[in-house]
Amino acid sequence: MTDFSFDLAIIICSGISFLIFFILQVIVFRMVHPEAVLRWIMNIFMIVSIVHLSTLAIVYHYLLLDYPGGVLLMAGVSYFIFGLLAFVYILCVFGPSETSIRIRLVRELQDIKGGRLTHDDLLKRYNGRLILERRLQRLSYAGEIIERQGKYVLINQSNAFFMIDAVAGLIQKVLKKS
Amino acid sequence: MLFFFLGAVIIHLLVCRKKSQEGLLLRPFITIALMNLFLLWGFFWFSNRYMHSDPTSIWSVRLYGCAVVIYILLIPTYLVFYFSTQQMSPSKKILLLLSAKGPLSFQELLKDFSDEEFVLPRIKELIGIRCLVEHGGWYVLTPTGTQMANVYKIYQFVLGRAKGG
Repeated sequence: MTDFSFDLAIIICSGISFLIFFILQVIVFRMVHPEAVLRWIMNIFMIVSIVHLSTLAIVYHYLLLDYPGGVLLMAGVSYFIFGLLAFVYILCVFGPSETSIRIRLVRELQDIKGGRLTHDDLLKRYNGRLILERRLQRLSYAGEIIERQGKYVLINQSNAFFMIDAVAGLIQKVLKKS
Repeated sequence: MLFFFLGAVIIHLLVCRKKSQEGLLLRPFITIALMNLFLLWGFFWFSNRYMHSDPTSIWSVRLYGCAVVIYILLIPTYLVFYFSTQQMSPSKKILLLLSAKGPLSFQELLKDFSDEEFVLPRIKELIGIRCLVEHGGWYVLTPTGTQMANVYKIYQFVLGRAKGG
């Protein structure tokens, strides 16, 4: 196998895994509870990860017998690219579609004939209260918070939000002018 | 490859520190990242032409295509973290409030969820990026805004999802 075809094979493998990830997402999301999608997207990622690594191990065992360590290299790099593709897709495409306030605002306007609303009408259709209700519901389904005796309690102190916040905090620290 | 990407991030952070203007500086980052990608390509060309490796070992395989794909994917990854320095997400705010203050009721949380904080700045941004215009007390979708709404409408239809937010 030449360097070029090896390179291309890794990219194609990652692409195929991502395609399976997307197709599974389309199928599964039509079956699960609307607020449980965040948990399910992680489940789908885990399923595809297992399929990706085990398929590669089987296929490359037969294709790369003359390359010691080939399976490991190929599986590692292609899984890394697939993971990064899924990460970018979730944060930049799926995430905004599910949670972006700006996109919800343009979708609200789109639903109105003529695509125009007054300030008050727009806020009647979408406001801080609605945002809070949806987020609490979503976080509850994701298992991040729980409602006990009318109060919301944080369950998981080390979730993705805190991790992103920690990295963002680091960038913010660097950005602060001396 | 990582060296070239980290170089782009460091230069961008230095540019952000130097510039006095508020808000996101996306264009400088994209420009720096693309310049570094060009340099990375030059480095690959140089190493392919002048550096020789053991053709019998899998560990000396040159994965240039993979390196470029990873480099390109790292650009939006960095931008996600960079964006989150500028705006507070409602979900993050809920979690930070619960983490700092302990258990809170819906009404207690609602005190920190005003339209002024979460909706109005986004409307201003949509006007700023010309997705919306304010005309005689009405918010009107521009062709760009309509296109954006259409793309997400199709995507949400494919996934069988309702409007987000």
